[in-house]
Formats: sequence, structure tokens, C-alpha cells
Amino acid sequence: MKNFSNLYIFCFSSALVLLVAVALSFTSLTLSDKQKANIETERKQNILLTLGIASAASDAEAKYGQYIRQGVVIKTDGSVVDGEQPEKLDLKKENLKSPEERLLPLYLAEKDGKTFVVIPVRGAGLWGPIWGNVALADDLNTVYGTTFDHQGETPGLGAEIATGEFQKQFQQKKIFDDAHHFVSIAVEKSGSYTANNHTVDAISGGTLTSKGLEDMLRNSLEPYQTYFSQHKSN
Amino acid sequence: MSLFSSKQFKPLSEPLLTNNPVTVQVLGICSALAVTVKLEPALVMALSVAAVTGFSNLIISCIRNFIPNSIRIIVQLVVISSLVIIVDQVLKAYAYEVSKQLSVYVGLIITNCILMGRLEAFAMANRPIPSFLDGIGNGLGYGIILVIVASFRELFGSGTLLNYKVIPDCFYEFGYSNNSLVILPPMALILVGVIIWIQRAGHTRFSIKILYSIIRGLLKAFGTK
Repeated sequence: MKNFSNLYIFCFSSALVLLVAVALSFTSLTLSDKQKANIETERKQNILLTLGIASAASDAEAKYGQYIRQGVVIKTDGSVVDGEQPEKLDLKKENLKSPEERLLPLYLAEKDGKTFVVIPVRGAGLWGPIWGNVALADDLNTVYGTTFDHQGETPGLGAEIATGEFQKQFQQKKIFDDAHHFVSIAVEKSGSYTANNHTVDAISGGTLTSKGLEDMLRNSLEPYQTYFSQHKSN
Repeated sequence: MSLFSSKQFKPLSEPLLTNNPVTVQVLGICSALAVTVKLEPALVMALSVAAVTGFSNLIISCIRNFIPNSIRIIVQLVVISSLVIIVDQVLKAYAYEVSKQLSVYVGLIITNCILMGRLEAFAMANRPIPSFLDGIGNGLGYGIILVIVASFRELFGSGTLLNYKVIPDCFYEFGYSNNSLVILPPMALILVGVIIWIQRAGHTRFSIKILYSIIRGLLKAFGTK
């Protein structure tokens, strides 16, 4: 091995880093459209899944068009905002806004002659963001199905929220109590509560993720209350 | 020496069996446990690792005479990690489902000991073409073990291969059931162990040598007082 001067080492590493940067940005730019399309397809698949419709990446688009009637953006007072697309909303930003300014996306779906409302939700888990969709039946109270996903929850513990078994628990739960007060769905330690319509079992060892999920559901669904009460009576 | 002589291909063929990175050098075990529940992610992982080992070996070998010795590990890591990021991006674009299943393990190829090991041991001292073949060979040698373990685990754990049902329904009616132990990570370790055992049993000289050294060690410890 030759002995290289410090100047050479400095120039060599700078040139290397520059080359690598160019190569990586080129890859990232050329592939980003394709990657975005994949994420969009996955979003549609997840929305369909809350309605109990399984789809492959290839037919997700067609099925989405078949079952999802309309995407609507509303405000917390229940009024519909024209000219906004729910797909374009950044829930992360919307969650930080004051209640009056917050925009809320929802999707109206129809399956077997029944209408459903699918609401995208987003919140914080233990290590990073968690998100998902909640489908409500036409009484705007009973949960029909849910999907949850996460960025980096602990595998085997918090990451269990993304499994079908955990999500199945939410089916037929109700977000309003008998007196029509919003109660959301609590995620409780099993054994510490009597089984009812508003609680599901938490994940053992995944307490913080479970609590994050509970907060996510409450914070995301609460602003829709006015909309729900307006449309329930119709 | 002709281009396609057997000696030329030694770097490619040797790591497949006689100098297999997983069973002989016992490297890259961690990811072998993690991605071998199903065959499809194992195949993709094998190809990804082979691509990264091949091209990182090629690149490092091309610039080996210009790399200052004092920063060579950093240079190797920069090359490996950028290749891994490229592989990760390509998978996210063209094999999204699989890339979700592999999740962090694609990124963790960077820490796979096979890569650094081959760069230090081979690419830094050899010409580009043999280095490239050595990289591909080691990647595939790793891949073979992954595929063997994964096909066993998928077949007995889920009754499928590449998500196609292999074990017919009538088996289940007669009381056959999928073995859920096979799905769990410890079974991958046991399988790798069994493969190592079988391979070393075939190489009698190798195992006798180990046995001999163990006996000699024991004799030294107890006998020669």
C-alpha cells in the first residue's frame, strides 16, 4: 500500500461522496413515481380491506372504483368543503390544526346495497407514526372493519396492531354510547374491564402502542361528531 | 490462460459449497433466520445480497489501488450502503409487497458480515473480474442456504411453496397439520445447524481434524499434569 497525502485522502473522499450522492439522487428521482403509485395502491387496498374486500395490487384500482362512491372533505361543523380531495390531505398537518381549521377526509362506500363511511385515522405509536382506516356502518356508530399500520413499532409487540386478529376485535364495536355520547373505542388490558361494546383487548407488552392507538381513534373520530349526528337522522 | 478456464470460475463455484459463507464461514446467520419463513422473500433477499456483494466487490476492486489505506473501511461501507439503498429503492418500486415483508432486513444487508468480509479478503487484493465472480458466488452461496431453509419452512410451516398450495387438502382431512414451530425463528437456526452438520459429515477430513483438535485440547487440559 502506498502512503497517500492528507490532501489526496480529502479529495478522494469528497469525490466519492459526490459520486454516490449523484447516483443515489438519480435512482431516487427515476423511481419515485413508481413508488408513489405503489403507496397509493396500498392506500386503496387498505380502504377496501376495511369493507372486507381483499384485493391484489393489480385489481385494487378497479375494485376501488366499483365500491368507493365518493371522497368528501368536511369541516368539524359538518359542512362539506368543495374543491378539496381527501386523497391530497396530509393528516399529519391536519391533526395539528385548530378544530375550526381542521379538514377531515372521509370516503363514502357502497357494498351489497349498504352504505359505509371510511375514515382515515393517524396518530402516534411508541416509536413512530401509526395510521389506518375505520369503516362505519350506515348507522354511523357501529364499526364495520378497521385496518392499522405502523412505521416502526416493535415486532411481536406493538407491531401486532397490523395483524388481522387484532383488527378483527373492532368489528361491531360502537363509538357512541346508548345516550348518544361519543365514547370512541378504548383499548384496555384484558381482565381489567367487563366486555362491552366500546372496548377491545390491548396487546400484552405493547401498552404504549395500544394507548397510542386508543388516542388516535379518539382524536381522529371526535371531530366527525357533528357530521355524524347531522347524517344519522337523515 | 483462457477466459473460461475452471480456475477462473473458482471464485464463483467455491463459495457455493466447499467454502459456503453461511455453513463453512458461518456468516450472515441473523438474516438467514429472519427472512426464511416464506420462499419468495428469501429468493428476493438472496438475489439482493448477490447483487450487492457482486457489484461492491467489482467497484472496490476497480478502485482498490486508489483507496487510501487509512480510510478503506469507510470507503467500503460507503459503497456497500449506497448499493443497498439502490436495491431497496428498486424493490420498493418493482416488488413493493416483498419489500414490505423484508422490511428492515434489506437495509440490514449493510451489516451482513459476508460483504465486508469479501471486500477485505478478496476485492482489495484481486482484479475486478475474479472479484465480481467471487462476490456473486458468495451471494449465491448465501442464497442457496436461504432457499433451502425457506422452502423447508414454508412447506412444513404453511403447506405452500411460493404461496402455491403444495400439500393437498386430503392430507389435512387425515389429521395432518402445519407445524407452527417451523415458522418460529429457532427452527431456522436448527435447520442451518443440520445443514452444517450434513455438510461437515461429508468432509470427513475436516471433521476429523476438528475432532482431533478437541481431543488434543482435552488431553492438554486434563492429562499432562
